[in-house]
Amino acid sequence: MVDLKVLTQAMSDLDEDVLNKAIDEVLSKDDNAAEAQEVVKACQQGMTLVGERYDSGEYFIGDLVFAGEVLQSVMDKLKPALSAGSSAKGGKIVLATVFGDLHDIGKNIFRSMVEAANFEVIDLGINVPVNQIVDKVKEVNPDIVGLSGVLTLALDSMKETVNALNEAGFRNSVKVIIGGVPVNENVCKSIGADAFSTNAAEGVKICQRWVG
Amino acid sequence: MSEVMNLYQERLDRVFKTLRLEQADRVPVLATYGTWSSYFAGYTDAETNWDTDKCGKALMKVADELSVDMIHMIYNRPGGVYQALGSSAFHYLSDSNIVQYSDESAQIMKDDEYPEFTKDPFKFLVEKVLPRKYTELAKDSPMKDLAFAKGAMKFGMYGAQKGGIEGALAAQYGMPLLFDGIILHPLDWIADFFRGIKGAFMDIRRRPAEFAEAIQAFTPLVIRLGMGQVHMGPPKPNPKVLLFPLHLPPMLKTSDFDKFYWPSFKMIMEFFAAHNVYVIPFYEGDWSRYYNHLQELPAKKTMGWFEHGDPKELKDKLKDTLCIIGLFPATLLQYGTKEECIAKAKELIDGMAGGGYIFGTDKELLAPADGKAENIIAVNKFVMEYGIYK
Repeated sequence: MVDLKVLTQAMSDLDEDVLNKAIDEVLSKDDNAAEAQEVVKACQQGMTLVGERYDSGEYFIGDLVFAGEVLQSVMDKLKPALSAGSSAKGGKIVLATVFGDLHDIGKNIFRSMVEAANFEVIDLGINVPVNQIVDKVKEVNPDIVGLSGVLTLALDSMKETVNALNEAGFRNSVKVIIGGVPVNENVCKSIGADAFSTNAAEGVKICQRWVG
Repeated sequence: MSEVMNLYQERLDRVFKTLRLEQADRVPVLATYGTWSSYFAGYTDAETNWDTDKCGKALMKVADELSVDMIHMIYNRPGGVYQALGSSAFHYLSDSNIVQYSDESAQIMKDDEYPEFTKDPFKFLVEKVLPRKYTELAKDSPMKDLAFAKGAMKFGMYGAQKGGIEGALAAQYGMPLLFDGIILHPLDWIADFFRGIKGAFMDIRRRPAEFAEAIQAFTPLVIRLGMGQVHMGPPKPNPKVLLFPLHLPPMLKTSDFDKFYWPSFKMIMEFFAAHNVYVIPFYEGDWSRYYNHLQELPAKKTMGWFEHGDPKELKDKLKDTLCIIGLFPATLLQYGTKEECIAKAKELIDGMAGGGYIFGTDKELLAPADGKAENIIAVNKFVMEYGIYK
């Protein structure tokens, strides 16, 4: 059995060598599904520590992007060993970089952190038209809609998306969180979102409060 | 001298005095309106990229109607040059949208190519980067030679048109332009154009030594690119000014900034200061943890266009070192009332008491809704009245 505490620490330190060695060890065993599941959990806990280190000013965006990549490669490696749908999800989020914008670094950081916090994420990608977001909400009935963008023009798209969710009658059943460089309290009010954040870790906490 | 030429000289003096941290008659107002200007004049971004004259007309309207002392630059992109070379890095998501650049198009250098890059960056750019970035330059001769000649010709024409616009703005509206060129940091070149931002973050962790060597090797070439632009246009009575948009620093850990960014940055800033070229970095994002670094820059020889920052803290830390530009929130111009905009402008000018401040937005206005013209006019007029030094 690999030492899960060491794995959590290695994920938090973004130490790929330690992680890779441990994962190779797990994959070399027969009947490793349970242990693989434990490894995923340990890495997800490490991801939470990464978020805390970002909050405390030790890590910055570049570290979060790298952390997302590391966690993704851990998941990819372990996938064959994991049984499908084995873990319960904490909540469901429809996520998009809104129409007119193709910047997705922030959205991807948020996705990897909120997935690590056990949310199920339906990521619609970049430049997502309003009706596509509304249709997806209709289809999967999420707890939360996350709208992301970097350009100020994204704010208009966010507003249109929120309006469309209102018109389609979903505004009471979903919470909307907006994220990205241009969002702030004023903008959040004007758009009619429930919350805003320019910090992915904080955004995850807001989502956890909503479904908690 | 004609009235227009007097106005031109007066505005130049006001701005350049402030840049040198000498007290002018009042706070100058810099137009930092990019592709927003196209929409203001009834064009789309695409139209002004294909037709530089339309960009000129848009800037004439800015000069005529928006109460500013100086326009930051001729903002359009030469679409013809990109087309001639076969670039696919810029995207229009719709006809009315502004042009955007995708991180995927930047991923044109492989992570194991750093040693080759570092050995001879110029050779690597010409032989590897250009053909991968521009499809026409990947073809066999003579097609690639023709494409290169066409691109160079289009670029020359663009330069001539820009010169014409600069002359017309001066002659008709007494309106000077601030920037004579643009430079980028070697790390931002690598992240934005060769490896992609994500790729650069991976390389910082996985190949730190090679990454640092590449930046060091590329720095002299970046300086040459800047000096080339300084000498491209005719001489001017005031120092030439380069815009230096900085991208990755707020996303880096401070220890990574110290290792990968600051040494080249300081070298570039000191080089141009020593050659009497003013460099104005656009300090994108939150730079507050780097203010102590900035105190080391050559005093009164560089300036800073800031997106974020508490005016008082900026002033405390940097008032003897550099002139501060910007800080006015673009989102307020978009979503605020005239009164809210004016209150914010007052707060900024009060915070910047004593000079060394040029009023401008915290970021370039790009999209059509990035600012309401009536808010911009109201704020600029207010600054010109309220910002008089007694």
